[in-house]
Amino acid sequence: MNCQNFETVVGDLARGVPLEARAQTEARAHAASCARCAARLADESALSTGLRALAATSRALSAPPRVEADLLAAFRAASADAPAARAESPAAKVVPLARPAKAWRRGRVKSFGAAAAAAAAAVTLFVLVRPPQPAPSGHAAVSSAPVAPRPLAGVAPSAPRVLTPEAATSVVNVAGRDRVEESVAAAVPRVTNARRAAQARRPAVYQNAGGGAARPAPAADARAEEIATDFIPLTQDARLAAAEGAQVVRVELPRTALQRFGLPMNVEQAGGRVKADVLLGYDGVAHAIRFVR
Amino acid sequence: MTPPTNSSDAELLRLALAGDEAAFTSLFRRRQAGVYRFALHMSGSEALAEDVVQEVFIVLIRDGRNFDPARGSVAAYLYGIARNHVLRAFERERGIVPLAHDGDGEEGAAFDLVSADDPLGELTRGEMIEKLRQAVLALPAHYREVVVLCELQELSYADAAAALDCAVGTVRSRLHRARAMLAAKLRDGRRREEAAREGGAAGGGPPQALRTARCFA
Repeated sequence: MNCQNFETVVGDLARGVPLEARAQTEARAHAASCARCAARLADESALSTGLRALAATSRALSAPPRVEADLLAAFRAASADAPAARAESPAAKVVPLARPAKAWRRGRVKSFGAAAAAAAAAVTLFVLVRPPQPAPSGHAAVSSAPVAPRPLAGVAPSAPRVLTPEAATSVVNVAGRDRVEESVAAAVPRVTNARRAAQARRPAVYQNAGGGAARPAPAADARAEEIATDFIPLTQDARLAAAEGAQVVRVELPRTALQRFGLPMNVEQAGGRVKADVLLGYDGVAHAIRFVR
Repeated sequence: MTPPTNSSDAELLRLALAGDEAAFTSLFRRRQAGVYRFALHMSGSEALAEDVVQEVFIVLIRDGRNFDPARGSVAAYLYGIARNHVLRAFERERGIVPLAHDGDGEEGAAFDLVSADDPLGELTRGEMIEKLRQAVLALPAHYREVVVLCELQELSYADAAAALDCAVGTVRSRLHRARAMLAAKLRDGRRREEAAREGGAAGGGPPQALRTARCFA
């Protein structure tokens, strides 16, 4: 057996998969005479040991009891329908559990928190580096010279407006991709039957802006009453980023950031902070921003 | 009526689809943990794993008649559904993936799990298993799924192929490649740790941080 042939069986050899007696003998003989292949076998054997240990440590894991309870409820509801109806249209059976939708995001708090922190850092950096922008005309309170920020193409220009969930969706869905739409719509809590009990126990931490401690997401009503500017592109690729599945990340910035984008700022509150939604691209770059009140 | 505990998955499914709640419960209790662990190892997210279990059995209630025993076992069918949901979730959330903390040079995986002659090594065993878990999570999805199915869920190549809707040869080749990637990661991590130890022993550089119990030996 040569090294090439050994490579084809080394995995099975390490995993203990039964091989032909002759192949096994030849493989072991080759490993005994070839230091490189011996090391390869040692690596594979260590890996197999580790994977078995990993499997053993997770063997006791299973779904929590509430999942069974929810599914049994669904099963009973499905069974309660007439068998004739089931035969007629099995796919049309009503299952009372809503789709889990976005609930699983809560399990990604760490990733999302990191993304939010990255977005905040990116925007802050951008704000600090970007030269002061003139303010749009009509915003007399702004100390900078007036030039209106250019909103994303396809989005109605600059007047702030009440941001309903639907409006939020339409704003970001410029390029028509579901992912972006869902990202924004996810800001409105959507709770499935299966998740309600869990949500009561686990705080929703989808929103973790500014690198601070995780906190519960605001209620849907509060979201619906938010007022937001249009998205202001930070890069040339803002629209492309939206099309490629960007995430909208809520951050907090120094209130002075408003000036950097030519937006009015109450100088008496210059030391405060302002909420903003950042369109964070697949590449981790902040492509657009809007300010929220 | 309670179905016999030794009923096959296919029989339980048949009874469940006929409205037998006990059969459905038995099938759920028999298979849910595997589906949950598959989704958990694939995603690293308990919440997603929980949702995937729910989705899989909802699909079973709704479309279980689509199960074709000629194409594989009920377990493979369930893993196939679970896999589709996991991949769909990745697609929805691809801006948030990766889920794993990949090695950054300072915390590269070093899986020296042999500890029989090294009592202190046992202290780091849990940490090393965690690193291996992270290394699995860092694999590309199509390699990760064969590792999870064949190595962690201990499915046969045939069942894994049925779950993944591909040929057995594809499963074998992906598993081979995936193991090579994990082994390389293992080797690199071990070398980094050895280099760090040697550097610390030479005393030429700044003092090395003690990262494992073994460093105290």
